[in-house]
Amino acid sequence: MGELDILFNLGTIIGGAFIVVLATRWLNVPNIVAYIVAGLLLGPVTGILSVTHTLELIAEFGIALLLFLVGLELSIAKIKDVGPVAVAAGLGQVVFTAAGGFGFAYLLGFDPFEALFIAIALTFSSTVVVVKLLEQKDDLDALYGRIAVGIFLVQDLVVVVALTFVAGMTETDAVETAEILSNLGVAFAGMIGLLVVALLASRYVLPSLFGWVARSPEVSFIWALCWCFLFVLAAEEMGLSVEIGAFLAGIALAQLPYNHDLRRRVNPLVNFFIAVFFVYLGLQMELGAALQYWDAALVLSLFVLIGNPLIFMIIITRMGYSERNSFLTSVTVAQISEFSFILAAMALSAGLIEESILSLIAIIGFATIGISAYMILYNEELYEFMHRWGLLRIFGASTETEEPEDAPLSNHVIVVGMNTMGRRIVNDLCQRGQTVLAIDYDAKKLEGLPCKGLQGDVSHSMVIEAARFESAQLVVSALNIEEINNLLAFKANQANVPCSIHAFDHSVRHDLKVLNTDHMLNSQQAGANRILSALQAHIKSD
Amino acid sequence: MVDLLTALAIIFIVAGPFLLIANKFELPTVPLLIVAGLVAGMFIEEELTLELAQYGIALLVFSFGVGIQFDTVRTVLLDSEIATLGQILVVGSLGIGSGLAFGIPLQESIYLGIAAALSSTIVGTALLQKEIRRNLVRGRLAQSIQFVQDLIALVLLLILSAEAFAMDPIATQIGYGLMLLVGAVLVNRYVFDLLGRLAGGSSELMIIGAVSLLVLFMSAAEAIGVSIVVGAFAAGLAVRHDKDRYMGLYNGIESIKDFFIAIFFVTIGALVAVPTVEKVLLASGLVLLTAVAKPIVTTAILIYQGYEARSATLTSLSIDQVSEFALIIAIEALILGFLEQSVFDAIILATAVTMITSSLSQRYDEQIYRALADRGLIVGRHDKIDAWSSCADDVTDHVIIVGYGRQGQQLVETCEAIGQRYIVIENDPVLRDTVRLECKEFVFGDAMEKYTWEKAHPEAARLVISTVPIEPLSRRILNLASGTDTILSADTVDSAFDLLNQGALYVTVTDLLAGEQLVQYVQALIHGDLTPEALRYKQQQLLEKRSDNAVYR
Repeated sequence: MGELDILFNLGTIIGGAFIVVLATRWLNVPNIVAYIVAGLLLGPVTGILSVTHTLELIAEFGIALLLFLVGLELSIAKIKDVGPVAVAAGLGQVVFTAAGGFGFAYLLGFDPFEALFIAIALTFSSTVVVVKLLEQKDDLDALYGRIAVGIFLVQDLVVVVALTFVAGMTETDAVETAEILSNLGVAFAGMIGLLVVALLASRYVLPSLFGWVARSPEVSFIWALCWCFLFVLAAEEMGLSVEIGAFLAGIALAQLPYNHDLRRRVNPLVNFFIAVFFVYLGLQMELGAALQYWDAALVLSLFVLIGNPLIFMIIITRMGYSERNSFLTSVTVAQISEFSFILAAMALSAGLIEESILSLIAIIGFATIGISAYMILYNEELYEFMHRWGLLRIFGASTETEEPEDAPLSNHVIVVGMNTMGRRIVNDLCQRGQTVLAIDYDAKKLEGLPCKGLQGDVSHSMVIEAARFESAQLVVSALNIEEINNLLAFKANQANVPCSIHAFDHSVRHDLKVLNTDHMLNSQQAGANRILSALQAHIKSD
Repeated sequence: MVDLLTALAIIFIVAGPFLLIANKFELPTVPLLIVAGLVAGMFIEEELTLELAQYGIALLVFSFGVGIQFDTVRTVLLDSEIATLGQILVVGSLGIGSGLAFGIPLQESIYLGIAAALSSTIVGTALLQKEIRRNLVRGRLAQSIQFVQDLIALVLLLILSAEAFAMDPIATQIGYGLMLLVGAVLVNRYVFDLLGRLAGGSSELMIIGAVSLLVLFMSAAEAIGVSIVVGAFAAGLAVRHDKDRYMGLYNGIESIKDFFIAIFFVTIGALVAVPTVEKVLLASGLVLLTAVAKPIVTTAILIYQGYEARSATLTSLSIDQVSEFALIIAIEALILGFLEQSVFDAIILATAVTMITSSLSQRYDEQIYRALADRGLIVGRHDKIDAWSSCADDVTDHVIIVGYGRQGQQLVETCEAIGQRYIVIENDPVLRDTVRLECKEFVFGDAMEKYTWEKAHPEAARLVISTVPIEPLSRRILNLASGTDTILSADTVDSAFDLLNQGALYVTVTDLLAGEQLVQYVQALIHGDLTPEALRYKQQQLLEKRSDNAVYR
């Protein structure tokens, strides 16, 4: 039955990843590290799978989706904020690491040409690793998360430059400087062009397009993917990375009121495809040949793990950010990137370096990604530790945090469904001074309400989390959708908060009672009472 | 060579504008995805398309397995609605017959029969959401008809794939398939919760785990020589779980499903070759069967079963399209070499066309019904209304109560208590016995029908009360009972204003009233005038008092 090789390759990858993650869970291993280990086990160790072009494409699709997700998170105002620091720190670190890396490699006995390649490979940090971890920590939106993402995107641009150069150098014939320059020109022009298109579209085109499809979540999801692919293809055409295209596509959509819902829908797809990406990364890591360079691997890994954050700390604190945010941002940079492999693989195939250098880079990659994943996941603890021992005082940054934490909602009444009933309840409660959170799928229905609104589909767990059921005072559902009402009753019960659910029809009562609903909004009873009194009044008056 | 990523990009980029059209004109998305496929097919190779289509099939069947509700199976089987299966037999035979008439061999004509007989859940039920929510007769009917059809489609698919791997006798095949399903149930019972615990509430892990199970079952199916579709369905059963508890997992599966389903329908379109006269003829034959013959047969059967003409017609008009399962069956048959390209193309084209015509027929269903009824093409079964109703012909000074739900029941109680004569109008067959037992006088017919009102004599009535907040019905009541005082129900303030302007005496907006009441309770709770326990007690009292005359057991 057909060619199902891809399916079974994918299956092995996903299944292997699942098993390794479960097996290493008691060690608190970050998922991405477990995925890479799974890739190592499936590829270099056992030889079950080998690197194929299709897998590479699937992995690339995962990256595109991840960056699309990041873009969806960022409004333009937030990006403008961190622009200067992103450029300064991004470029500063590139220069520093390249110089330092070259020095160390040269001292370790590599010839200048090899040292140059090693230096370039060490320079870039992995956008995918960091973004995945920040997303897992729900910190993409935090100030330090935004600075980090900004820096990584600046570096992605530098990567484009580097890749274009290496591609030029590895061409069989002489290096054509003019051609490289023209390629670079196209890339930069393309980048600016895409950015302009994204911004214009988000202002003039997308709002009305998404207005049409707003009522149907699946369609807006598919539409968002269409938009993402459009940018990815355009970026590829212009020699830009898939990441940059997807990121810009995301930014254009982030300005719409539907971005949160889209994020929730794209998220599971990202989880799925990015797992493939990390396993694929592991598949590529031929570690065996690197044994002869164990000392170099150790030194260079430590350089990346300590030197990179250090230079970041210096640059970012100089720009006036607080000690805490500077530190949290700096920690994110302590690993090398998947580009390092691509770069090294290109150089290897062009005969510029030996295979052992590729392995060296792989082992540095594995070590730094693995350790920095822990550093990012436990960044707050690490900061507390460093701060308590006064290790950060030398940077002389202020210990005040510039970002006042948004007070999370509490003691609020959650009202789901802005129909006639929902609006009435919201208005009345607000008039009486209650804190109310209104939820509806349709962003238009949330307009003009006297309270905070949350756009989203409540059958999505992330919406329930965002609404903070556990600290609410009451959950009200005015919806007349049986399935969702039952779900809300269940969730309210789970969070131990009283709920009042619209019992719009007698057939739904039984389930609600079983689910321990505290109060049923009894529209039929209310209507019956009113009609009964009208009936009696009418008969009396006759 | 177009690689996978570019193929995916093309699929989505082409699909985007078509979806936009679909939404702008409120058409179902599936047919426009198929049309998008016709365009995308020009850029993507057939080999890649077939492969992507396989993923789509696996995901569709998997998510059907995940979403299957065993309770629903039971209710549908208990209901007499199973008799509507007659419709499948009649239309299916017509389909096979017309295939033979076109000179297509019997083996392939069977697929035409399947295409004609089965209707689409995605299109049909999606369009009927409102009716289903309101528990209207036709919403319920269409839903259970489609559910039964999906089950039949699945069985057909299993048989088809068993036939494909005919190295072993069919019995062995089915044995293997059953083994797989039993394995799935065991995994569901004993392994899944364990995985859930191990994953420790991380929905990322649960999704990866569910996909692992899917691939595991599909590989197992392949290993024992059963179709991977069986494996996908088994995996669905293995993953199927309490939605409330595994919400993150369900959300994830939903997204992944949406993604692959879009790909699936586009690839289906991409597989269609250039239409020829023969194909177009065959496709139009199929369209006629599905869009015309099927509703006629269904209406006839439903009327024969005792549903009144309007509900029967409207139900039939919501199942007049080709099912997505028929597409899966056709594509499997094509891959296995059981079906010729031209027949396959005809089925795909007919599917796309009928899904569009069906959304139109559903939008204008009232008008279609009225047009047919006015020309006497649908015989209003007045004899049935007469037989089932009980009311005097010379009734005067009575109150007409439309709808015997909870409000209707209370109105009847009140009328009896104050000695007011009344007539109840109701048309849900489920309520027929209750109405006969509890009401002195009633008309059992559709309140949209003129004849129903002729029997209730609104001109002599004191008051007409409708407890059904459906605007078209309210308008019709104002029209048919003009001159008599009318109390109506509405679900929005705007519609209430409208109805008042058109002459209603009084309109209740039940949702508003309930909302006001809740706000009072909240206020009382916060100020301490009412304890939560007291509120709960009060509510329980009320519910228990009401449960005596509950209609739904």
